[in-house]
Amino acid sequence: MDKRLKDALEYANYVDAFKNQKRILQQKYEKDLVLYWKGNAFKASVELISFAVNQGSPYWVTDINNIPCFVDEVLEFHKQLQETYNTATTSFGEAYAEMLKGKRSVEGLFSV
Amino acid sequence: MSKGILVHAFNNEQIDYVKQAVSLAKRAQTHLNLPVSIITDCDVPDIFDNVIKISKDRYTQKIYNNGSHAQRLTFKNNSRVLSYELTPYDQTLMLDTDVIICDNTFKQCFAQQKDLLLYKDAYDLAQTRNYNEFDKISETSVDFYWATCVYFTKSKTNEIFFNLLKHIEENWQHYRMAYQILNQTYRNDFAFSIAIHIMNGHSKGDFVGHMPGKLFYTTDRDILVDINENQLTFLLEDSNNKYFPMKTNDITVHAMNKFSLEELL
Repeated sequence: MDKRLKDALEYANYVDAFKNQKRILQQKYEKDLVLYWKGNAFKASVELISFAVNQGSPYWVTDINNIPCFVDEVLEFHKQLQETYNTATTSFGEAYAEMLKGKRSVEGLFSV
Repeated sequence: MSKGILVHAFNNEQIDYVKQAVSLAKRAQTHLNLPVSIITDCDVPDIFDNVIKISKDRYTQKIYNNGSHAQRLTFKNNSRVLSYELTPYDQTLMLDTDVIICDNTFKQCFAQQKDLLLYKDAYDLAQTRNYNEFDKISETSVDFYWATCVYFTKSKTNEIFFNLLKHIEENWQHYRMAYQILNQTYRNDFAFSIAIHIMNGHSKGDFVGHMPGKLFYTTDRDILVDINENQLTFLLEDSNNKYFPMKTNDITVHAMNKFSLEELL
């Protein structure tokens, strides 16, 4: 096989493997973004965090399954949303940076 | 309120479900700090909270794949309908033995408001395949629910639900035809899906709640090549029957290829 074609195919394999690994990282990120709070599940999105930080008194909010939840501990709820977001996003960012560090090959990506 | 995990493990000619259950129990202890009870017809190591021995006389058969190789083996899967009466716990998380626990998401089941939780949707790690069989129990039938991971409490409603499951299992050929299921083999996923449909008033509804997190799965045509603590490495089959590598970290995966799973335990 022509070396130019061989190199291109190897790179294409790497791009494909990288894309797949990134997809799994994103799925894990979405899972990690969920805050379980008093029997309800909330996605710790920047929108919800911004909304929560502006609430001065207890309030109702719906969770990701459309179940209403009364947030009585306003500050604690916001704090936990923020922590969930930070932990999940940091984990995602570090895992992604680790993927970029390795040799640009399928073998490098899988450390074999 | 007592809490725990329940597994069913009935070995067949080739597959050692008890070995998988032992691995699951160790991982459950590490990640969830929960006791595990086993329902089985075999002798088991002294690792389980309770050993509940039963034997059922009606077994079926199914095709087990190991990558591209397939064989027909005995499938002893009809004890699950007895889970409600056999569980020693007030709050039970029932898991398939081929679920590889790598995180603590299941802990959240025990804080949910619903008495019964199942996954309706699941995430195929390969994503290049089109598994319609996991959307509906047949092309013209009702929504598919996964019996792989089921959380239930002791409640009047769940007693009715599990009694209905027993009725469906005992009259499987009738329900199979009523719900247009082509395959004759009894499947817990189908029985649970039918029972949920009936409990919802023969409609879609919110009788069951959502299990926390996502159910990630690989099929029995995929190959698990390595388990390193919470890092799993797979070879996944794409839509052209070619294999590509995939690595997961800290996510619980339902690895359906029991042959490759057993080789690594």
